[in-house]
Amino acid sequence: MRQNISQPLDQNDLQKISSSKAHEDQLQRQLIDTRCRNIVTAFFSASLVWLLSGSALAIAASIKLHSPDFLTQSDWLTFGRVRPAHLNTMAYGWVSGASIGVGLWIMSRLTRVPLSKSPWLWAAFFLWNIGITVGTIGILRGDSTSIEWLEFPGYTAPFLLGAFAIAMFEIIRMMNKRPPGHVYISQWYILAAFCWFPWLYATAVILLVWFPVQAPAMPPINWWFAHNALGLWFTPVSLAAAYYLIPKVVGKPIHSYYLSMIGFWSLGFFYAWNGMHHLIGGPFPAWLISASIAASIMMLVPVITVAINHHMTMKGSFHYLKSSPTLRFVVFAAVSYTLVSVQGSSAAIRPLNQITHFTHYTIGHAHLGMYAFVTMMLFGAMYYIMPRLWNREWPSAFLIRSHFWLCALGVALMTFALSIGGWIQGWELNKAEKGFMEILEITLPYLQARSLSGGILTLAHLMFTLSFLLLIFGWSPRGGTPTLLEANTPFRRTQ
Amino acid sequence: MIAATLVLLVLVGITGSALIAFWWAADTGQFKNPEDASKSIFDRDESIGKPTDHFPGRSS
Repeated sequence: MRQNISQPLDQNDLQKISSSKAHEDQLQRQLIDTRCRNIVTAFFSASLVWLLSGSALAIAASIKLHSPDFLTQSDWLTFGRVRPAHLNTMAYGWVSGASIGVGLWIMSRLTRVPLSKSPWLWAAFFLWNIGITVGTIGILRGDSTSIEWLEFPGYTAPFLLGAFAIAMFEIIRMMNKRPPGHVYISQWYILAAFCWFPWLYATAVILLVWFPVQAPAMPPINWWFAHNALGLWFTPVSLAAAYYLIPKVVGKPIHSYYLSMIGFWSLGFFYAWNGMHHLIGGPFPAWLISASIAASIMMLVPVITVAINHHMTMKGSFHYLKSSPTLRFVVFAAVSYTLVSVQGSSAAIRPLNQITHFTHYTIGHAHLGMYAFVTMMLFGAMYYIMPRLWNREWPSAFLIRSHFWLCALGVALMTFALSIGGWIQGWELNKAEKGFMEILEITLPYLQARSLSGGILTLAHLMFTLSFLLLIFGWSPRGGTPTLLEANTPFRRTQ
Repeated sequence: MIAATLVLLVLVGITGSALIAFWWAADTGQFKNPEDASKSIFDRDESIGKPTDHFPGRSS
């Protein structure tokens, strides 16, 4: 660049160096995205198939709650089968599949290490989806274990564990090969989530399904697993996405890195003890339940730190909500995280739990967590990731807007209906003189609202799937700088 | 009883793994210069101050 090395660099030289280094960064990102393209798209595509299947099962299960004669001709369509099939296809097929894709991409971007070329990740993809297929068919044909969140028959666990072990080793490999320096907060969350979940799942499957322990010990293990699946698997991946996407989209570092670290470490220390609050009032050692209630209240520490951090990072940048599809979904999810966590901590307090336990309130809470928080975060992440993997724009702003508003409306309706209906149900159930059928009738309008919200959400999922398919099959504008394109020509096929 | 002990061991194990990771993080300077860490996600061409997402057909 310069003939004489001792001569100081002028403005022109500095510009050339800066531009060449910027180009280097761009090339590095392109290499990472190219290596991620097929496998991450495969995980996303399969997860969307499970999302649509899970939605159909959800509607069937929901309608049966207020119209019990609906689809009763075949035993495989009875409530006891479609409801767990819905839960498991959503939790493992949709959320976990998409989380693996999001986790692999973010980790690759942050470590600046491209994904491995070996076929192992493809083996993980096939094992995972074979496991979900076999498990769902197993539940529908009557092989459910009847253990909540673990209804897949025992013979599916080797598929899921094998797939997860491969994904975990890939995450560890990327961490190991990263250049020296700081580990960003999203990396901490992803590394922890990919190591914690196989551990949780293997322990639960061994103790509950393969070599079942004595019956009185099963509920604590069951709820230890089920609650930790949410807090130590779905939550960390979603928070990792939020901590990566919010700063990247608005072009501003997170407000306080200290707070983000407090949030991560307090989640790691407190969350594992939370699950027993599902057993309040049950025949279990009082100290176990009390420790869990205390840990549930302590969860306010990570939740408040995350809420402050996200809000303060967004402060002054809220106008980007109008222009960024990713940010809309991610901010909606981040706010929902605060709401669901505060709601969860409060429901662990004994007097409140006496009302809400064994009611639709808990189902509303679960949907606030798994949909308004986790699913919306995954949608937001996919809106950011897919154009970068395929170097193409999303096909239509209309489809994105419709998807967002239908999701927001659907999940708000579901959460309000089930929370209010569940509260009334719990209140009435505590009255000894009230008949069960009488209480059931009071809940009917709320259950009908739940079915309506399920229909709205399914329509949103169909719109997103259409967008997704149009993008990967090339019916959208192509550009070198994804999501910053001028062209406004939806449904134009590109090569 | 055996199962409860096993679950307790796993609980302690998970918390213990978090403690080990915490010790490693402190030992390798992960808690120093946090402001630098918060900027590590930005590249030279996707730098601070540059938003990176828009609806299709709309650039800033």
